[in-house]
Amino acid sequence: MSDPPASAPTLIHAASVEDFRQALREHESVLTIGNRTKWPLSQASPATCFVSTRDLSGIVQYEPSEFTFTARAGTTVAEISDALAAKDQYLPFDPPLSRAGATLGGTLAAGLSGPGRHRYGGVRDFVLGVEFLTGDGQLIHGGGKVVKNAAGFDLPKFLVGSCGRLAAITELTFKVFPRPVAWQTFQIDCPDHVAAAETIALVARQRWELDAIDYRANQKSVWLRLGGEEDVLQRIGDDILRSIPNQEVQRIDRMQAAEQWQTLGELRFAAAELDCVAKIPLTLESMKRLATWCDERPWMTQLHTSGAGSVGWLAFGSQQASEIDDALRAMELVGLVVIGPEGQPGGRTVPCRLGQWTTSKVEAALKHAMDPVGRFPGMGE
Amino acid sequence: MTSVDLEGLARRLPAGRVHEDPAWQAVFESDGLTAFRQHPRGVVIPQSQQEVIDIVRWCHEVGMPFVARGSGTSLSGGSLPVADGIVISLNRMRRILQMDPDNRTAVVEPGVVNLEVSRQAAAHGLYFAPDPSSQKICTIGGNIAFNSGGAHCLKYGMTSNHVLGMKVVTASGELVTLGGPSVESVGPDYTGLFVGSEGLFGIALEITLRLLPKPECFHTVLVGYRSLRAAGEAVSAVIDSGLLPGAMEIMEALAIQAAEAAVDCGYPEGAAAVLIVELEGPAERIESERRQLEAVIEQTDAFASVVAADEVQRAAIWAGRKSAFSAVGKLSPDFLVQDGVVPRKRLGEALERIEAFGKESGLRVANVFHAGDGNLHPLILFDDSKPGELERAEALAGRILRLCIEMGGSITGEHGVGMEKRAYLPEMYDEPTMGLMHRLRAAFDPKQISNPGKMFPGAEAPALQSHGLHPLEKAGVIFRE
Repeated sequence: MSDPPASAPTLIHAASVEDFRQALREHESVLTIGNRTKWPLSQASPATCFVSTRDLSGIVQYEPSEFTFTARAGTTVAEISDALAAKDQYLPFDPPLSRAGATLGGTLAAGLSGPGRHRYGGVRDFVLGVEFLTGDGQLIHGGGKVVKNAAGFDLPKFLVGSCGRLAAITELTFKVFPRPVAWQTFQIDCPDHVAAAETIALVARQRWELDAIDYRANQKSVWLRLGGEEDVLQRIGDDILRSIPNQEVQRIDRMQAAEQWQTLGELRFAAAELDCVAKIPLTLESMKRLATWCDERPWMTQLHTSGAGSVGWLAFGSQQASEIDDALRAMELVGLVVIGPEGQPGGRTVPCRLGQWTTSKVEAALKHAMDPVGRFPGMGE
Repeated sequence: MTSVDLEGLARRLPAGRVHEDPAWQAVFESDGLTAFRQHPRGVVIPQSQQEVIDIVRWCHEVGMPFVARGSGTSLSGGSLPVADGIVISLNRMRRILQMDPDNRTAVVEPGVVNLEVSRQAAAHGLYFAPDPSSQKICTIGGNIAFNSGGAHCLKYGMTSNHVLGMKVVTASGELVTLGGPSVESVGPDYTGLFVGSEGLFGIALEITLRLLPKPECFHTVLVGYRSLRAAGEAVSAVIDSGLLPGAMEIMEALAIQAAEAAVDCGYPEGAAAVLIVELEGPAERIESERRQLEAVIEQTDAFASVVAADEVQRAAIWAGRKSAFSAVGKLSPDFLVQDGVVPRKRLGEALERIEAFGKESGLRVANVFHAGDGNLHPLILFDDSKPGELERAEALAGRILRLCIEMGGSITGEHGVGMEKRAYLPEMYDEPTMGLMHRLRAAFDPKQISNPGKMFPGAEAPALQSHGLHPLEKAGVIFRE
């Protein structure tokens, strides 16, 4: 099952927990990959053994009446979305890169949520249970399979954003919700970022229960998405059109809106030469600063924000990575590069961390607790 | 341990912070689970973050166990003192440091009372969603430690879903920032790990909370059923219809009778069970969803249905539910309450088995529960003055916890493991998982001084004493979910 030429990295397709365990026993450095839709996150030295979850796939249990499902880590988000949609349910946080083939395990490990995270929360708020292997090959069952559980430490949440550096995730249980029958998108064009931030703050406090509040910074357009029954969309929509002072609000054609959201969901919203996308946690203040900085560099950056200005998706050219890094440091921001040019396996094309990342003593101790034998590489290794 | 003098600590703090006399020890001897009582060595009441840091660092230096405590409303004995240790009472750390309506966040100290956050946020049309029944007095620090729930968890999640970041002093004295001011972060979710760690990792000094817009309106319905099963089936019907109610609660006959006697809530006469369903959201949405809900309820085997016409009627419906536990407690000199979770579709089966367990042990069990998320609250009534009843009640509680595990659920939905259920955690999680939890704890607390004896079995426990109502419950100040 492995194909190790002398100097190329080893790739194993694990079909079982035991395959994973064997890789952990036999290799010094092990990194889990799914379909590598977030290529920069799986950069590691050629000495690393990559264990693919592609064959560790499938929905293990789906109970629509419980609002829960359990699936193996390599199950694609698309497969899950289809199964849920057949029962009028969904993952409200819009897991990104679905069309590209993102897996459930990769989505959790990368800690990525899309625009829909605004209303009910992100991937961290929907994961209930996790099965994983520690670096020393112990199979752990964290969390539970019911929608409410306060027993023991919250291991499922801990692994959100861990990028395969703390554990090898093999199976996950999630909470799901009933899916709205339809969505309506509205667009508000603003004169500048200050007005846009004010508009975002205003709409986010309203009674409408918006699913998504996004901002396309170079166009200075705020997008709102509302889900529900048709008559509800119509009536709340009328109120939205009436309620935004001094700005023009328009209903967006549904087909056009679906395409816009999908392009964003695939993180393909920028020009092709901007071949990297970084996730950057923001507030409205830092959103304005970052957007203004991008205004001065339209040829090399494009910014889109989701979650009412709380997360930025910054597209940039891989050649400008170090300039972006300096800028984020100056703005006291951090970025995780999730899209970037693909290189050779075991090669490196772009740093995956930008800005000022720090590691505390306790974080290092936690890494050691999860991986006492040091099997999982660090992010920069 | 006992040789360590608290004088050393007192010297590091402003005067009047450290209390060692028996009166102080008695005040802090137990929390909301009065079954356990233990006088601490001393009580320390810091008034600033730096004082908390100094105390924790001193404890780490000398190996002094400490228990951080807010208002002491834990129902699992989570803030029970340790005989040779100190209680760090955080009630004076009650500043709301920042209210940011634009980003819909609040930064608070751990001693801020849960409901106070919503009170302060109300001016901006916002509120803090987690609503444990003790929210009038329980603190955010305690909510963080135990990942508190409430009646609205199905839709909004537990406390953890509403915590963005924290400044924390770990049990080894390290000052760290977890998460941040944004709802999104990068890197492992340390905030998520810390919330629900039951005080075993250290003390949160500053917490950034997510606030939500207040729902515009509520639609609250009370439905009477002739059998518990029919009420349970109605819950499934509501879920299957695609509705996502803010809350769905069931009370059964014994609890209804007690609530009627206590607060005259006017529930349908002769009901074997009542179901409360509450929808919330914008008026337009509620108007549409209430029609859907009416159609669903009409198809169930209901014999009575009341819709709250205004806020007064809504409060009356909730008064019966919120008073249920205190009220049932008054039917019996002593009681035990559990908060296990089962898959929703197995609620009926679980309740039948609990009833059978009760009959076998000769004890009455009243049930009130969060039906929407399968969170049971069986209340086991007994009389400690009768020989053997306490032991029978404890055994019955254990059978119920094991039943929850067997059905694929959890031993606790929102009260936490604490002292009370620590013997059962290894039955829910296998040995490697328990081992990893110990390792994670050691990363924060290598000397095991932070809230020792909780969550994990093994340490010495003080003897059980009584299970009567908490004095604050008797006074109607706090309620149990």
